[in-house]
Amino acid sequence: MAALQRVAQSSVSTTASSYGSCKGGATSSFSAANEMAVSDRFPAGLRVLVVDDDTTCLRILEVLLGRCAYQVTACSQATVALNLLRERKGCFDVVLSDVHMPDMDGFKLLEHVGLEMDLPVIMMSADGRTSAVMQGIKHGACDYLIKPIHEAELKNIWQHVVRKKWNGNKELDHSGSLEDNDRNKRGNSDVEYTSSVNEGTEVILKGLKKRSNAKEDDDGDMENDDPSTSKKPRVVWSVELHQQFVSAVNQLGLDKAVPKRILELMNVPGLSRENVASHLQKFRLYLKRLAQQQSGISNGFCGPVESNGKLGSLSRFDIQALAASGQIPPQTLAVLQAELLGQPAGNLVPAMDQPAILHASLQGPKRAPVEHGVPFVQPLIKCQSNVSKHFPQSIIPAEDVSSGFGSWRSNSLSTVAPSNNLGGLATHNGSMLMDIMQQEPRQHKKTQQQSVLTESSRLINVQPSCLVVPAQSSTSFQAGNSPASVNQSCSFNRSTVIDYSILSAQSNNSSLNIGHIPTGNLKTPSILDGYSAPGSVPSTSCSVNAGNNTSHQNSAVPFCDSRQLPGVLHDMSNIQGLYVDKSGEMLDQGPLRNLGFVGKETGIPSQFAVDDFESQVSNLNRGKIYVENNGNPVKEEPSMNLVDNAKVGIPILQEFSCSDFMSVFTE
Amino acid sequence: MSTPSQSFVTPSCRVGVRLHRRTNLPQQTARGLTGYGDSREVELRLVVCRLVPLIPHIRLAKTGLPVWMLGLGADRLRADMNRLLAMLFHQGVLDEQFLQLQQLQDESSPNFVSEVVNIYFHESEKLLKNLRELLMDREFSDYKKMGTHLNQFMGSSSSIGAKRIRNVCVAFRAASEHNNRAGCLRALEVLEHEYCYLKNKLHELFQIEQQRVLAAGVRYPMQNN
Repeated sequence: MAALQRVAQSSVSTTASSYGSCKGGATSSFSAANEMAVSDRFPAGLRVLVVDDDTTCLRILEVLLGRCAYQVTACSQATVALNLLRERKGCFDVVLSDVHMPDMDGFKLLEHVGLEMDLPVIMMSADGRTSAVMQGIKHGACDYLIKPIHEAELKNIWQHVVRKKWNGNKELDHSGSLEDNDRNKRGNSDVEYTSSVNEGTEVILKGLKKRSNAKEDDDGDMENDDPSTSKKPRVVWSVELHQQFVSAVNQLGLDKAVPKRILELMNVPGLSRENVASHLQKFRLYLKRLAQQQSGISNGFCGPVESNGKLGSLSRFDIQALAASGQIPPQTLAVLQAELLGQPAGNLVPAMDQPAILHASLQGPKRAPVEHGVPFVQPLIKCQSNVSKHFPQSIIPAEDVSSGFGSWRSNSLSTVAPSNNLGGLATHNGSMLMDIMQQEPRQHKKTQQQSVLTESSRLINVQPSCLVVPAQSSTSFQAGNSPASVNQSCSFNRSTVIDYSILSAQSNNSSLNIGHIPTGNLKTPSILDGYSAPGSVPSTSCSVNAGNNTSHQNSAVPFCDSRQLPGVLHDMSNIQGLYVDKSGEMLDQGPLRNLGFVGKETGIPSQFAVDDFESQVSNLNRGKIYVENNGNPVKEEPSMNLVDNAKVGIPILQEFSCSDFMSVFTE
Repeated sequence: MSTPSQSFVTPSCRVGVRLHRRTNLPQQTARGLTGYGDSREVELRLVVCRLVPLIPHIRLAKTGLPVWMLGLGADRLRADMNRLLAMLFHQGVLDEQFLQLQQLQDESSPNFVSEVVNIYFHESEKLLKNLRELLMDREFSDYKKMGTHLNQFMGSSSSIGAKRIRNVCVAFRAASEHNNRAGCLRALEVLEHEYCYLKNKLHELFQIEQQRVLAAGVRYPMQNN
């Protein structure tokens, strides 16, 4: 909170109110705050973030938007804006961004925002040529405004927020309606179709998928996947449930997996075919997404397994995020391992397949059909022995990453989830993490040898952290990934998390020898920062990296894991309560102190490098503020200087203020 | 004159005005002043008359004082302003966007227009300097970079309402996309000229505005001036 406050103070005065509201929003559940804020005073009070390196336009837009009764936050640097968005999730409704900016291309920012936060982004530019506008649409902008921007155009931007929300709701309804066996047989094609449709309307699609997942997670009890309007109790795809599902799917073979058969195999009372069908659809989309991500990805971190190898390179962003978790991994792994060991053996094996599938999909050709997931299972099974060496690593970083998100104790969990997301986007991580978290405390009491485990288990509890990290890294990494995959990953994450934990527990390998340590994205820590709730999260993530002896090794794993975050992010709604509860605790966590320090090895920017947990936090805050201040002064100085310079003659006149002058005469 | 007159300059437009001996003010003014016999008033007017001539575009009354001080010039000043604006619109130097800027100015942001315009001047000068440096470079080849500067200049100019400048930027961009260095140079010349013209005119506008605001606020006690 302190970080938020400081940032708020450093912000432009006109946006102070928006910061204040963001602070308030942060303390309440994200999605609820977001939706409530949006609906309460629509369209007035819409929280807009405007990013433009041109100070003139920025100032004009600020005032114009203020005239529309919006809450404006102005930013002159894209990186600062991105951090702002990440810090204050749910504090903004729409983003206005210039196309040409010196530090980051506007389209890249657009992709980040779309993937990570799923906010409508409106592009602006002086270049109004058709080719430029086409570029904007291709990248998924909600709208493209041509400078000079008129007030009337700005008055209308609220429609994009509403449209996105409603499309998301509609998508949720549709996804639940897929039920029939026959339909599932055509499920692939349907999925393909929806995916292609989604690709066409990237932004809306992302919104749809993400919203649907978010919505699913949000409504804890209500489920509306039945096409009829009857309200069934919502099915939460817990880790065990998902494991069962995946095992059933693997048993049937991905091609032949139909909801009816899956349901029979799973043999879970109270589960309807509709539930399974919608889950299967998401699963398939997720695999597809993994397959897409696979293409173009160079080596992973697991040498023996091709898929593993690719993971490392894939998630360079993730790795950074997970790097923080360097210290935790062994603990987290141990915890997960212990937890998983309790699970039926049958689940274990299929669960193992998950990572394989994930890896495989990561490495597959760009548009490899979903079916590829099946063949990949084989290679993975072979290298399961190797996997034990690798997966734990991946799990660990994931957990570390989550620990990075200080406010969420369940860092370990989150890291676990990301690790499972190797190449995947976990959307249901939240629920999965929840399960793991609940089991962890039990587990970690037993294993004392793994002090790290205890920490990690504690960390695991926070879902949002894990959600956040993968999302960030993955979003940065997978700029073009459609949200659909993100949504799909959740189920994967859960199972993979479990798998990894098992493997890690077995291997009890504290040395995360990740073959490939991507030098990767220095921005990942910042990404993490953005996601973490009050500044502590980023610091912890950084710290986790450094502290661990094997931090450098861990760094690779985090990369993999974090990739899956985007989907996980949407599950955050599930954990909101957790998040809220935990947010205050993070700073005090003793175990967190053991997380160690920012991975200088990972080359995290100095502003995030920390020596101590507390100092990390403070540094982080400072760093953030510093960054923020960079933006603000740029924005403010010109006006001050110009005013001074320009009014050469006038001040002299002004000295003779009316009051002074008149006082002479009135006496 | 016995008093040192180097410290200030008599209004150049008031050639032939007889100056008061002590104050160096125009005699008519001094007469008015001494009619009151208030030394403070004299001092004040003295200072004003020293400084006012330094500022261009100040309407001066016969007494050498700025019109706004007399409390009568508010309407006249507003007329001046409107006339200037109309001329700029007619010439195509400014467009409706500038009017929108003016509408945004209110009690909550009282100096909005001048603030924004000053930001614009500051940034534009930097951009123009960069453009000039780029083009002057013998081995200039980075048209892309020039395009970026140009794009920003175009964006801010159009946001201000500087229509003519924006049009020149469009032509400039076309030349740069064809890698036409000569064309770029020509366009830059025109751009700099247009920019100077706009800057002068806007300065003038702000001066008049300032005077008008002051004039509107001036309240004189009853006097037989």
